[in-house]
Amino acid sequence: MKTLIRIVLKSAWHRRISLLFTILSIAISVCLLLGVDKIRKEAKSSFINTISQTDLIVGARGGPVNLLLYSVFRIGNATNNVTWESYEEIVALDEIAWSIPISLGDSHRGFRVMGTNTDYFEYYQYGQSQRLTFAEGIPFSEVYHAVIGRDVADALDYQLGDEIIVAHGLVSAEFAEHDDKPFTVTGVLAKTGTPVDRTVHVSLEGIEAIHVDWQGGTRSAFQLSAEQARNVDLQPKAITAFMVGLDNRINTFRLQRAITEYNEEPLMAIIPGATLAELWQTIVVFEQVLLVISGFVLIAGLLGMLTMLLSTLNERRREMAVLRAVGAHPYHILFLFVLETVFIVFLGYVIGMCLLYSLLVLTQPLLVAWYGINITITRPDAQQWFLFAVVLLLSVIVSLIPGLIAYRQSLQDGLAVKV
Amino acid sequence: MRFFPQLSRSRVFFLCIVIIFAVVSCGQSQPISIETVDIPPVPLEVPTSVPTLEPKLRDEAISNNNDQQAAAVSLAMPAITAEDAVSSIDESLSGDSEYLEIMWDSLIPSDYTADAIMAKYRDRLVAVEDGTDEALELYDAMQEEFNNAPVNESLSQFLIKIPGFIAPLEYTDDLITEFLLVPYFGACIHQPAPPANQTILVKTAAGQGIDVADSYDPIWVIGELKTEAQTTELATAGYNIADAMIEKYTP
Repeated sequence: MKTLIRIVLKSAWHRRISLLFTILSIAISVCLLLGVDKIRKEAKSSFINTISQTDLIVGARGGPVNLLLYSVFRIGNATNNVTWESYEEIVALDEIAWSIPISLGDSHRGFRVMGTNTDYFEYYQYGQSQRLTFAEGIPFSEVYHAVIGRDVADALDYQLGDEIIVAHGLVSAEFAEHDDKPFTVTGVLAKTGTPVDRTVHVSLEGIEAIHVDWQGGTRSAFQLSAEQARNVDLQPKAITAFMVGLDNRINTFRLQRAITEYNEEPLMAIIPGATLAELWQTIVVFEQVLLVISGFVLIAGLLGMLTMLLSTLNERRREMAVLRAVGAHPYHILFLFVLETVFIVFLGYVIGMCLLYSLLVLTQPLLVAWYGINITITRPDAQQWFLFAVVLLLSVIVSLIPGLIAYRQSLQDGLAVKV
Repeated sequence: MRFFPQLSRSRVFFLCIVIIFAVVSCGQSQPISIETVDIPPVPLEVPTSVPTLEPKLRDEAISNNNDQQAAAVSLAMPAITAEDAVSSIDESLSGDSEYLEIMWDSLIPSDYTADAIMAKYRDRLVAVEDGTDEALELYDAMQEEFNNAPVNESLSQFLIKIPGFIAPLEYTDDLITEFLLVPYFGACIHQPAPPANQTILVKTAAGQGIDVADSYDPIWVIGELKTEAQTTELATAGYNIADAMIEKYTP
């Protein structure tokens, strides 16, 4: 057995250049397969962990997935607003324990600005019922205070006390900025791994103040300074959406029905957990397609290896003949091929995994900074070890093809090889 | 191995391709989500499966609300007599024994079933013409009573097994671990919303849960049913099951 392994290794070393590229092709296909699997799992986790312990999210009537996307993930836009009267009337109901109003529409250098009140810091939960905590500073207490998420602070290098200018709309442009009313950073939230990290939070009054002299989306002729705006009545007239927690979760459906049938305004209430599942159901098809494609890439890699082995079969007939001459049985020849293939695939898999982990380590800070996608680097789970076993088994089966051909050839040739 | 040389090369090749496909397809079927069984949802409308009880038993049931016998009778299981019910209660409370498999009708207390409410309003209905405003008001009032019916206290602390669809609420490690169990699919969309006594708040046992991809499929929930008539400091009103076991639904 030991001699056989030594022979395999020496024979492989002799053909190391072509083997190297075969190993690389398998490594890349394994890296792709494991990478797709990892990103799929990370995306699912980060999606699902974004919000917790919120029973309903209420917004203007439209699509439920759209409401979830813009209120929780800060993706997309609302179709309409919710008036303050409707908000107050609904949260006055007995069944409701707490509520968080939110107001969207502005941005700051690519990060969305969200108007809310201090209830947000008290009641918003994510992940496994985790509350928001402050890494530095305190919640806003004044009109022009802002609390920023961890990614905003890191990407734009903000400290407590820095002044920021909020832009109107989702893309910053100098003519669309509220530059006469800067906000002061009073707090930085601890990292959550959710879109909260990429948001600048201000008070609802702050949003009102910066828009008090904007008519129809542009500056009006009459400008108010920051001080003057502070003294105007800053009671918001409308908000974009609000989140609601109930005393008893069993009342969820009844309350959802009541809000949807609310006569004063066309509103819609969604159950975040249910809408998340709905969203994921539509995405799951794509993730499965991605997996199938990666599986095919791996099979292509294995077939490439098979091609390489078959094409060199002829050249190795003399090698087999020599081995037969020194006393190798025909099934030793078969075993030689199996061992060599398993060795190639094993090495390729290990190199592929190393490649994947080094890529992850390199791109982790970039992904967080650019896309807000948080990737945790963990050890391979049971499913990935099972994949390893399946790939090795496949390689054994693939190796049988050249192995059996060589077996037959070695029986026919004997010592006199007619090449 | 001796007969291998007699197999032609092409046959060996063909065999290997077949084996590869077999292994690959077995490997790919690992992440199983259940076959979508075409199960008609348990209807919420007038529960015709409520057993037609003999009039004598029925009157007893309505008048003896808190009686154990009435409890046995109000379950949608005509075969169970009072004695059976008592003994099965004892059995199910004594550790790991048979769960009581119930349907959603059993969650409605006996004097709030559609039949019982009809009976209450029968005199008034007879006096009014169909289609008039008064008739509609009466129907609305009946619907209100049905919707606001209290929980069936007689099922309290029973170990039950009940099928249903879910509306996910909380996730743990990519599994749905807290959800509302309802009798029909799409409770968020359909009119009317299920009343409080046709909804169960379920928290799964540690390690149990439902994958997001399976969230549309019906399931069996197995666990101890807790009924609370009023919200107290310790518990909220309605049906609750904590530490539930989940099974995929097969009829």
